[in-house]
Amino acid sequence: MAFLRRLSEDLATNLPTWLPIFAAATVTVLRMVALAMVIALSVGLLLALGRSSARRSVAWLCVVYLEGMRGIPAFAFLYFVYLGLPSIGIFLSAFQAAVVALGLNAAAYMAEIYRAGIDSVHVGQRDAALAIGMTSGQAMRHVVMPQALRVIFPPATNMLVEVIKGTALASAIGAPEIMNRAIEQTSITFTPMAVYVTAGATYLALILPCARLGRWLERRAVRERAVAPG
Amino acid sequence: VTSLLDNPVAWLVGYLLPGALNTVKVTVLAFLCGIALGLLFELARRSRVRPLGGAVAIVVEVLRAMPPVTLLFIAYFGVAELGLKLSPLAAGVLCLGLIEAAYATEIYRAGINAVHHGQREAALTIGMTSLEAMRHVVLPQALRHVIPPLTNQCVGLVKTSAAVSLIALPDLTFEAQVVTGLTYQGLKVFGLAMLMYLALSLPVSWLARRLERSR
Repeated sequence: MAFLRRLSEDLATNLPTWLPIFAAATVTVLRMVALAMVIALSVGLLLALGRSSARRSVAWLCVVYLEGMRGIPAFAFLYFVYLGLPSIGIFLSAFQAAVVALGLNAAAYMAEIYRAGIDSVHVGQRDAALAIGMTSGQAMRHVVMPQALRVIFPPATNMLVEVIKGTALASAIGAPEIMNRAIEQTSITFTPMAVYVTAGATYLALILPCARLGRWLERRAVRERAVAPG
Repeated sequence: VTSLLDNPVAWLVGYLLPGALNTVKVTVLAFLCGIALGLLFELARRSRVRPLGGAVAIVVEVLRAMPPVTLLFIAYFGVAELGLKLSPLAAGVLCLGLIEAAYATEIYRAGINAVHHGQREAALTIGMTSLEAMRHVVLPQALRHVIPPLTNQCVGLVKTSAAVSLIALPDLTFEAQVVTGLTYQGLKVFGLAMLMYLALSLPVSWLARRLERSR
């Protein structure tokens, strides 16, 4: 109880100072997530399509990327990008490194999500599109993808949650995000519990709505599949 | 010392292999905690004691939404404020175990639901208590559905475990950072570390895939 009283006192004293700091850090996190998701969604699509490419070498490279990336921690890859790439002349800021590392890492998972979505569309749809004279690319764009999207959305939302959680790792390389600011404040106020609980609450405020949305989309997709003919 | 550190074999023997050993240690311990705790969570959620089920649901939701780093900092730096100083290993196993339990709960739930309810009813009819029916009839059959996804979770745990380097547990990521600090060869050092992570995680994910197919 004494502890809870102390925690609430620490929070009451420091929250006015922390709120603007955490708000700014949240904006940084949102920018980081948005850019990383752009990379994940586009590179992921390329990987999903490249994997079933007719060119053996392209398909093989994509599989190596997917399997490899899914076997290593995003954190180790982040360090590789931030500490490793400078030795071949690529210098990224902490923010840029986090965007690139989180984006390229999530792309490997996104590719699987795209693939599951594309596989869920009956082959007859593609065959019919080809039969009326569409090219393979047109069939994918106008016929298969629009139908695959409803299967892709729910797990993609989960991926978004994972990317938001992943941004916390960028504190280690000094990107000015939530955990980084929290660590900084700890060394000013010496109230680790209060700071980290505030940081945790900020993450929950960001992530819980996304997780809810994902579950809702999932339930809706299951319902639609149950009533859809075929 | 400088010439010795130019040699990747020295990195391996002196730093990366002991680091990988710590990664394995924290992962295995957390996995064991997680599958035990996850089962307890699921049984609590199914129990007739309503508030217990609700409390577990909230804990699971929070654990799944919180970045592991934040949880680790609360357990390691925050709890120390209470006068309870956990070692990095204890804090790491505790946090990763709790996170694993939150995911395992869902897996147990699906596994138990996959067992036909007639099985439980038959067990109750012959005079078993609810708990006995769960232990001797439902769980043994649910195990078949539970093992492949739990194995997959273990791969996830290997990857999540890299975050413990931030509370100064000398795991593979931590040691790779140390060697990078000494040699300024981040590309090679982290390249090697990533290969070592692959050597840990790929066999487990192949195993998971085989288990899934043979089901």
